Amino acid sequence: MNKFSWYEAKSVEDALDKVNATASDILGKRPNESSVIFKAGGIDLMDLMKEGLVNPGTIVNIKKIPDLDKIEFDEKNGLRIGANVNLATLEGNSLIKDKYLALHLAVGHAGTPQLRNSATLGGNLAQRTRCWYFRSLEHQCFRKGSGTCFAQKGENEFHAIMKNETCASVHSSSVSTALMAFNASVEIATSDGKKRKVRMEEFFVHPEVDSRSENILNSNELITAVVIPAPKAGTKSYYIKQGARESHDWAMADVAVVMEMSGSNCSKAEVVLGAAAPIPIRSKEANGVLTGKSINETVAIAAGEASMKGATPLSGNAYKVPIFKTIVKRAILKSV
Amino acid sequence: MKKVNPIDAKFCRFLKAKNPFGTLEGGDNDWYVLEDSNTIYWCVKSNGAGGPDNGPVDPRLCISGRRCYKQRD
Amino acid sequence: MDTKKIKLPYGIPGHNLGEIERDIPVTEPPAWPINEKLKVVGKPVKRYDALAKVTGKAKFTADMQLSGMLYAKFFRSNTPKAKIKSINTNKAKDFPGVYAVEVMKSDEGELPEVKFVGQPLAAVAASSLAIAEEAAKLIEVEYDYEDFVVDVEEAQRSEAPIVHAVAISAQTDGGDVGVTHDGSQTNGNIVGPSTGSFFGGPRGSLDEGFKEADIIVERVYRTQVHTHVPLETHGVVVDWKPGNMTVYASTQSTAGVRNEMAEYFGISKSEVRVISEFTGGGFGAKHSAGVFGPMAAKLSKATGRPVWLMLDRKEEHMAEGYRPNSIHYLKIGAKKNGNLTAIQQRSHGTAGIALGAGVGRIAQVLYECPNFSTEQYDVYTNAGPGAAWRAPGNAQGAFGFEQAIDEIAEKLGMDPVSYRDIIDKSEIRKVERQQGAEKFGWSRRKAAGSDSGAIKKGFGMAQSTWPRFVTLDSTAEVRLMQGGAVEIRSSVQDMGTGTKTILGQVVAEELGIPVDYVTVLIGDTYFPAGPASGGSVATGSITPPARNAAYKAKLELLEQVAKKLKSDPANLTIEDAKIFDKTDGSKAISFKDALQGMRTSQIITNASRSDDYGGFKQEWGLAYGDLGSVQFAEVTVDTETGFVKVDKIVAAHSCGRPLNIAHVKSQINGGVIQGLSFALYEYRVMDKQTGFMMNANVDQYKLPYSMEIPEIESIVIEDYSGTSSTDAYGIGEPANIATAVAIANAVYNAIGVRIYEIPITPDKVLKALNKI
Repeated sequence: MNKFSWYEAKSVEDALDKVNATASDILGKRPNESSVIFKAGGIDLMDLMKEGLVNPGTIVNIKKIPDLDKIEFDEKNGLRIGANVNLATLEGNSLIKDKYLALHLAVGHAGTPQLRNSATLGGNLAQRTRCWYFRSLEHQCFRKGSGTCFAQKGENEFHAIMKNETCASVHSSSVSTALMAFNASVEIATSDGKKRKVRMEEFFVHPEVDSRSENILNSNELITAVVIPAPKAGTKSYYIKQGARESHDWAMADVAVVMEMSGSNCSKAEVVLGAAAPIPIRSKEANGVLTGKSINETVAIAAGEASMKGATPLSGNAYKVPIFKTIVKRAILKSV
Repeated sequence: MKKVNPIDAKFCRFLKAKNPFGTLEGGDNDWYVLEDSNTIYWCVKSNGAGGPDNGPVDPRLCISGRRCYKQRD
Repeated sequence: MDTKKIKLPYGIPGHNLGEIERDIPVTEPPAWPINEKLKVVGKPVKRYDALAKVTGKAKFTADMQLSGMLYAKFFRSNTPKAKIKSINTNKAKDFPGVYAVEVMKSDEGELPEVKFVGQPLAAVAASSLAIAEEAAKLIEVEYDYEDFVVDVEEAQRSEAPIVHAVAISAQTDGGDVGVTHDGSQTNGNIVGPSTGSFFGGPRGSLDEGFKEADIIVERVYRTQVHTHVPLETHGVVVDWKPGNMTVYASTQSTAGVRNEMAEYFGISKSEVRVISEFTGGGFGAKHSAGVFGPMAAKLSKATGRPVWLMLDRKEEHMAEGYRPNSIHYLKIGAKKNGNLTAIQQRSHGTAGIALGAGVGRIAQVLYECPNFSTEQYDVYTNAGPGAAWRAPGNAQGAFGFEQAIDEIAEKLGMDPVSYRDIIDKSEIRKVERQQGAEKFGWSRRKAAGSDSGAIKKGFGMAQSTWPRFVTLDSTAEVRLMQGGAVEIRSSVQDMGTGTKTILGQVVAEELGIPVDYVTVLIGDTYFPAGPASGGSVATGSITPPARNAAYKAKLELLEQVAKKLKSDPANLTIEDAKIFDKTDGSKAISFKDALQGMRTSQIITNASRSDDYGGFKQEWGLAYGDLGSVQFAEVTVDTETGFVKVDKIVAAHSCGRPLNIAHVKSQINGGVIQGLSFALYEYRVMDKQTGFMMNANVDQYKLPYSMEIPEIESIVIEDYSGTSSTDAYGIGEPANIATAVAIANAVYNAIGVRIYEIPITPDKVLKALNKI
């Protein structure tokens, strides 16, 4: 790890004033004393720095910025979670457990208790992929801006099975899987003092669009909150994550299901798959199977099957297909 | 199956072995070079499984006549 | 030597316990009764260093901080195969805070050829670790890249790149090594076969054996590369002052490190002192001075300062050893009555650029079979060298063999436990099967795959054996001191198993005093030479001399006390720290007062490991008997996701006389956890395109954490053989052999399809179930 300076940001404006790069901007570059980047919980950044992938000159600590750590809810505006709320706090929030069960479950399965005490929601969304080629300084891979995705012909058991032609990495935020299913938006402050809100789909960037960045954040932008609409009456949800280990692991496959139910009938469904593609994806096929149906095992199995339509597994990860089918089915049945 | 005590044999003084069953004679004695497929060998001089001459460390090869061979005292 | 006849406990309490009369040297102490009649030995005495370890007071090698100490970092290759055209260290040398840079080269100045990613090429010593790391990055190498191979199967092809391509050349003054290894005269990367083992060569005739067989099972089993991941990585701190090199080492063999350092630098062993007060695990990989030892010493010599050189987790994974993988072919014949008629074994495995990838001796010795042959091949690949790993070869070998035996049992329509009752002649395993099956609830087991529903339960078992090896050059010294101190000293180290504590217990038992009277000073080559902690030999090797030295010291003390009490020393005994005359209770003195009144300030005695009692000394110190184990596994398999979860393991073991039941159980727990991880989780991922290990960390390298660890119940069966003054043996390796295959057998019982390769990941289960 190279030498770096430390700056405690006093406000969002102060932080944006100081920062001049994203981790993606300086990825794989030699140490540059003039580069200044954010740090929230520091979980991912420390890893990237330890591997020599990111060598900033200055780290701006945003974790002590006041008012970014609030959780607010009202029936009109829904749930607003400050970017600095840590995952442990989210996990312990009873309103989230009651109204957004899938989110509660996703947060509770992220990292370890120790990591959740430090990791922030904003940092979780902005983290980079754990693809082992991406994480290796020696591999100039597609997601680092070169032409080669080593996983295509290489070791790809934990890699993407959909939309994986250019880069087969998967996004590591399993919390995002649940957030997308609840139609969350990310609130971003920009250095000109404005704020903008983008839906999760727009926040994440597929490698075909931009090989180096996994999200739309520019160096003059900072996540300030995540906003989730209030659930309609009769909303049911569930989340399942399957890792290589139960204790603490990244998802091999994870799924969030949110359904608006009237009686046993599903009027609207959101099935989102994590660790299936380079970014979390909505399964329109599964949603289509569920919408307007009475939810039972047959429908759930059909939705699981539909969710894997068009899957293009690589040499080592075809096993993910039956796992996704299964956890989609189980999450649907668990949610009602 | 032969047991070979390196002290008695023609092996290079820098050939070392770790057989699966411990050091047998132990303490201050060198470990036996067992002709056993679980015995691990290394060269003390090159600190590894390649010898100073870059050839493999192998009791069949770490013997008198090899370029990097050194006789025992 | 004068001998005496004594009777010793012999057999298994509750089963066949009796006595055996043996002719032993007169200098040996009287026989100890079985554990229930002893005060300290066998009891769950708390670890001497428990508090120091849990409070962080214990100083491991990595914690050493010496005055003026420098920190060193290796510069390693980032290519799997290349010749080095040049190596330039100028920028590193000029980096502020750097004190010395050393390049790896032979005495003649030859640079090493690069043969794996992560091969050490140079090292930097600097005033801080951060500076050393920064400076190491500035070293520049010009490579002449060559083709490489990291896959064990690709490496066997005739057109594969040759890993060790340098022809062995003769000395200039003639001589002929007879063999080259450039691929032209040998089989490329394939070395072998090894057809014998420690226990003899082939026996009988396979043709005859298979002709006699009513059923034959023929399969290929595969096991993965499994790294050691000790919590403390490899490394040393070397302080080389003129005439005296002190090495603080994380090691399983202080004496081995001392000898190698002396040999490397051509200095006297007396000039080298190796100290290992605490070692954070080794599992077989920490037996040598390594490359870090001499390198740290060179840097220390060059700078005149102590040098700290510990590896990081990535280096540990890439370059400091692993359990080699195996492709294990087995063909086994059996008669209708169950008797085995022939066993044919052939294996290929890779220890990277090194040798040692065999599958051990389980197939050869576990059950009687008149016809046996084995061919075990090493396959060189461009990966770091393998290392001994807790029962080398045996866990790999057992994985195939005990599955095949299970399959034979099924073909014969027999229960796996009952079948082993027929073919297994071991008395200890018979008792272990009985007690284990009962505790486990073996009767719950149903026919394979008969559970309904997607989530299926399975039950399996497997057996193993490990020899009772001892190291005869094992010496302990005991000191009784005025003031009340009692010390035991030996160079033997405690790598976390509890060696310190059992030595304290043995001395306390012999002297009739509480354990906390005894100070244990070990892990220092200035003390008498002890054994390495490998091959599970430490306990069986060092506890008898520890007891004998204490016994000698006791006799000397009682001699002196007898004069004062006007007793016959033969009538004196020590109990509860009190010395008294058995014939006249009024003649008594406390142990501490007796020490205070000694004629000299210290009584110092020492003893070395004697041959096994009763003429059972085998060639090369091989002891009598073996250490059998039987393990039972209960698993749950999700047939829709392919996930296997181990719910429970019952592990029945023996280690002769257990000295500390808590430590024995703790080691069984460790062995079982590593075994289940071998079965389900850990594997090294090598990228065939670039030759890198992709999961050289503890995130993507899947160690089991708390949720993966099942309920573990251990059964420790006392098994007396009357072979030494403590009759105790090790448990480290036996605890690890049977777990993975017991789990594999349980998975089969759950799903009705066998998995022939570990780790049993969802991928393999789903493939076996034709779901992919």
